[in-house]
Amino acid sequence: MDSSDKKGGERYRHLIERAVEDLALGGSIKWLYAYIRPEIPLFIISISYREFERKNVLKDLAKFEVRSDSIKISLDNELDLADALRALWSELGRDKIEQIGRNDILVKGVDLEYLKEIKIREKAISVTEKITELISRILPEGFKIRRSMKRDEIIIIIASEDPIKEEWIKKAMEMIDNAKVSYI
Amino acid sequence: MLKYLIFEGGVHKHEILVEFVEDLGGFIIQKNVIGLDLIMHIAVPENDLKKVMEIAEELKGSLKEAPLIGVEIVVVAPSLSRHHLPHPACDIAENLRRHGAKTNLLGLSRGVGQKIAHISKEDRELIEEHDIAIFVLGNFEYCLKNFKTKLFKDISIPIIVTGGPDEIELPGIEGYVGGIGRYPERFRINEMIEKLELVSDLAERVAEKRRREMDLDPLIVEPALVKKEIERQMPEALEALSPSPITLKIDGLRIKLPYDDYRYKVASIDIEGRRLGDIANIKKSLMRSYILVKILPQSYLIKV
Repeated sequence: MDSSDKKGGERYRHLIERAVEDLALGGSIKWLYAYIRPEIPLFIISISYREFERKNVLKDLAKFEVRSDSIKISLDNELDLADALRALWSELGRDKIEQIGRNDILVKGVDLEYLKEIKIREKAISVTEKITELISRILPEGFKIRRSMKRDEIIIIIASEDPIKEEWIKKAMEMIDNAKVSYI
Repeated sequence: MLKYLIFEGGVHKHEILVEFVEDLGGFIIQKNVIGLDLIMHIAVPENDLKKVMEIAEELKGSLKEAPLIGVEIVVVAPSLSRHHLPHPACDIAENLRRHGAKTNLLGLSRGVGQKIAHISKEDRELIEEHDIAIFVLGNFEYCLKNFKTKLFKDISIPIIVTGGPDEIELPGIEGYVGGIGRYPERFRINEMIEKLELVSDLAERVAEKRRREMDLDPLIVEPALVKKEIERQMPEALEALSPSPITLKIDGLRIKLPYDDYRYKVASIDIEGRRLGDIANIKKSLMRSYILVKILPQSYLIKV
């Protein structure tokens, strides 16, 4: 966070933290850097994140272990647990489902092939979509002139009320290089 | 001058207080019964305050002063997007309601940004229909000082501003409460709840000041009396589905019925032998075509 208005910058840090928390992006973001100069006016935000798609069919999200009278589902990602439980409860009823560990669910009396095809969400979730949502929540609403750039897994948005200047783009690129060095 | 109070107690024997207030020439403005509990907004003459307090004590209820009763406040956000709503505008409005005020929320059509921020004629007129306006602005001192003052500089009602910087001097406002700004969650921690109380206290002081000023040239009739008469002579006003169908304002009231259908009926209501239309300006509100009644001051009668 680099802001010419220290107090305002601190408040923005809080706002960004809450927005990341709201969108459950904490695990996907490597670093986030904001450069704020209300007097120019200029707001640059760059985010480095791990791109992955959270699929929606159970077979793509978990490993299955067939036991004598039940099937153990081990989810690869803890974040899918809430959705998986909700979907299984509504498909099979609560009697047949038991959560036996942080990522593990035990299902009784159900065919494996049927279980594998259960959809836990309407559609797959892409991190990029969520990152875009995060940026739109953070950027000041009035800074409508925006330029977005993507380099590797880093997304940069420059926002202002005035036309974007070449030097701002240069500044954004510098920011990425510096942030990369400090992150490594 | 009337004193506005909130009574909180049991339903049992509360009629004693109601009758006493009415005997004094006071008004019951709002009465909410929740199970066996009762919350009542009352207005009593300043000189009889002590006696009312004694009765409240006898009934084992609590009585606290609430100058915001009978005040309609608008909480203004720069836009209706999630950048500015629901927190903190809704929390400020909710806290004001706990202090007795009636609140409306308004999102400006073009209030965001620096150079692009401006207020339209409709926005301004809508804000001026209220008694006090609270502008909930952003985090940066530079923006507030240099660009946001144009949003409220021509507004004729008292203005309170909240924003991020702890302290800032802005022209043409009644007061500023800092440390709020763009806040992304509910006001749950003590520090933030105190800020809400600061906003409400400031609004109370502004309302009290406005009433004291108006005491120099009082209204021809108290708005609370007009409300009572409307309820008696035009019961359909109470059947309107809007919350608080007759809303009190410092210098009048808002009746939540369509202006075109009811304006003549409202104008012909009898208030102590006078037509309401003769002692008040009745006009159409920009808000859903409600009826706005602005009671004239007594100096108007002398001129006539």
